Amino acid sequence: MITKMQSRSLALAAAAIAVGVGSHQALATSQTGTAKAVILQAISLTENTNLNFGNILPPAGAANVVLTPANVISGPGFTFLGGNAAGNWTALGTAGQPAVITFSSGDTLTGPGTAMALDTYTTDAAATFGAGNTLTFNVGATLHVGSPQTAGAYSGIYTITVNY
Amino acid sequence: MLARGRSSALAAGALALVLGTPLALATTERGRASATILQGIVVTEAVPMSFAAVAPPPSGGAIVLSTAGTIRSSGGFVFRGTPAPGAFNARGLPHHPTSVSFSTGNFVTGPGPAMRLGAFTNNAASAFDGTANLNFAVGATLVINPNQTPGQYTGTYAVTVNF
Repeated sequence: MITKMQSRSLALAAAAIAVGVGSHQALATSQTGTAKAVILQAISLTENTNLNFGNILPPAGAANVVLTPANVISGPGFTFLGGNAAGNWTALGTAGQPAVITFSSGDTLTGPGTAMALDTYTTDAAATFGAGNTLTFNVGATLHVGSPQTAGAYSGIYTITVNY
Repeated sequence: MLARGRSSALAAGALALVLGTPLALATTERGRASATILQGIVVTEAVPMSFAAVAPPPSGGAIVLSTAGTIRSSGGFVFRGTPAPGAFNARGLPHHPTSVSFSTGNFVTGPGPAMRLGAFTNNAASAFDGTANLNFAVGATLVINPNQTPGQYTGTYAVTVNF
């Protein structure tokens, strides 16, 4: 037979045990974490316009021609007679991601005379791919014209790499 | 403790997706570049200018040779033979605009006092043709002095063809 005293003790003990068993859950707290991932598309690249220095009448003595991405051509002592165009490219990537553009070195234009070095590439590209996943930009460069430089048509290749 | 541990693992996973993009995502392409190097315009004389034979009046005077090869003058002159305008060929750049200019202070010299040659005219087109050629004729005015000594007179002048 349980006395009143014993029952109260049992009740207290039961209550104490009940509190003890659930104590770590009452002290814990939960928080929502955010996880993000950007799925990157492999970049593809298309040349829209060849880079062209156009018709150039050189001065006496070797000198350089600079063509800017804005298609402004200049060089000391040269007469420029039109036909110049900055290179134009469209890269397809992932919207909002940074675009890193790099170029080859050691390129030349070859033709009837001595090869002319082509280097110091410049672009007007934005820092990131646009909302449509594309990045369209212009390319300029510097052409090292020799003296004498045999008249005629010269052409060559340069390499462009676009990365995230 | 366990919950926090799981969050840390998820954060580390997200970072791994953004850093260190594999080179397989980059692309490399080859572009073309070109230039056309021109030489200076080359001008050659095909036919020298000639006023042919002239018998002036004692007072002398100016005679004008046209690009068509005709001569006009004030009264008293007699002309013999076949005058000819100067004929030139220039090679430049197909269809590119061009202009022609001349020297000044030219003379023809011979047995008598030098005679001034100037006021050059030309019938050049305003641009090179599709084959980069420009063919044109040149006329001029010759000022004959009073009582000009008879004989052969010759001189030179400069033609400049510009882009």
